Amino acid sequence: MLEAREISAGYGIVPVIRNISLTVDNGDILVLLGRNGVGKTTLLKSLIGLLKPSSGKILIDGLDVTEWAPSRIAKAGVAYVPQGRGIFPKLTVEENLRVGLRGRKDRSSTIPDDVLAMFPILKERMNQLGGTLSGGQQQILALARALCSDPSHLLLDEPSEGIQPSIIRQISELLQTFSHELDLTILLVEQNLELVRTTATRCFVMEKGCLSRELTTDELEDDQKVFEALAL
Amino acid sequence: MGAVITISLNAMTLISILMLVGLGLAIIYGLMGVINLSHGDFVTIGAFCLAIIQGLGGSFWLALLIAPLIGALLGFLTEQAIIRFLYARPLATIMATWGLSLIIQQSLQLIFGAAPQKVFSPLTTSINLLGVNYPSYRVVMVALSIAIIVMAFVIIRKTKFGLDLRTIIQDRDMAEALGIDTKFVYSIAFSLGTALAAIAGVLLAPLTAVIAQMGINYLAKSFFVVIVGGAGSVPGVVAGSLFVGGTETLLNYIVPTTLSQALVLVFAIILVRVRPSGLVRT
Repeated sequence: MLEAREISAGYGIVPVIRNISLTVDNGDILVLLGRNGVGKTTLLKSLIGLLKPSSGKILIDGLDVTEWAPSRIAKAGVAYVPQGRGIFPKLTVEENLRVGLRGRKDRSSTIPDDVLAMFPILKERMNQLGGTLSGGQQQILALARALCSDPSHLLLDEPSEGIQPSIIRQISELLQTFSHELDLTILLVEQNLELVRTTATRCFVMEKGCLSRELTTDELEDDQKVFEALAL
Repeated sequence: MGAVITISLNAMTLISILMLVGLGLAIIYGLMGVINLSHGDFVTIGAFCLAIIQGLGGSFWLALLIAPLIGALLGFLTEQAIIRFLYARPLATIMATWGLSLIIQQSLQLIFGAAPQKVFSPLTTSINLLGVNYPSYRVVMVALSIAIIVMAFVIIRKTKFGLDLRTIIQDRDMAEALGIDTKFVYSIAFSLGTALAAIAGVLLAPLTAVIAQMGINYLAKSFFVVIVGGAGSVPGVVAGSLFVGGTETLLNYIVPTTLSQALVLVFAIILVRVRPSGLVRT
């Protein structure tokens, strides 16, 4: 379970998110919808520890991690795939995956076979540099790398950005597999409605640094309701 | 023919010294981006370690083992006390490391005096190479330098630490978010760089005057080596050393030393103008 209690955060003296409280229960795929610049990425960065909240608390399975370094939060079971994927362009696919092992509690130094089995496309390209992969392949690599740390929580920032529809469908299927078979608790920031509709178990709308309302899965199916909620 | 071989061997000696001093800086400046103006003084510290250990009756080889440990320890303390607060502030780093450099130089001079320290070469014989008699020590030094360069290459390319370091350099936040303790890796990398400088100090001490200011000579040259070679790679250090050391040795036979050093700088400027990312691109 991942919990944010009244957190505020920003860059310098400019506040971006204000008093956000949010609980992602085990097994949930919780989606944050919202237009550009409402603070979705800032919220994720605060949760992984890259941005220290100016107030409020962050808890993982009841443990207060607000003051922890990101590396410690990662080792506590939180994997993070940032916007833009965060692939290391000058490392090979294999090295990118190896780096993903650093967040493991058991300090294992072998890439798990089941991760490789899930992503056959990566297996063929182990010695290729990360920077030479296409956007979709990089996103797949970023997801595989996140799994290498054997996480219990996954924070995903706009995985569909700049990616062709067939890969978006693949990502949707992968997220459902992560949730159902690997028991991953997922917090997904997304703007692609197809991906949101096929994955979300809960959905919140963000506006001007706050959570403005919750959308039920039924409401999500209704374009009119979604556009209203997003004030489009 | 004999002259050509002698010039080549002299060039090899200078090149290997530059490789060793440049290697530490390639990690600290090339990879980590820290403009460390006290790098030369860690070379001095290595040379003084040799003087002290030999003064106490210890051998050269013992100094070669102990000096890098002392260099690493002092580097670790420097990183913890000064550098780690300044990674995002290059100008402040220049000021702080320049200050540290002055403190090291003046402290050594206060404690040991201004006269050159006595150091002894472990080998006083010479060997015959292709018909030319050449000091054995220089040949051993070249061989050791090559071994150390290869070792550094393997550490950066093949070990867990090397992978962590290469990861952090590309994207520090992402590396941290994946579970790498980036602060720890940086302090170890900085210590490795200063340990390499101290090794260089021991190896070159028998060939030069060991005084508190000796590091200054090597500071500027090691920056040339790293910038000309291509910041941040071991092959870059080798290429940069070959360029700077080779050119300087050759020019020394044609023009006076001061002019040759100035000309090396001119060539380096032209080269960086033509190839801004250095000889070896990463």
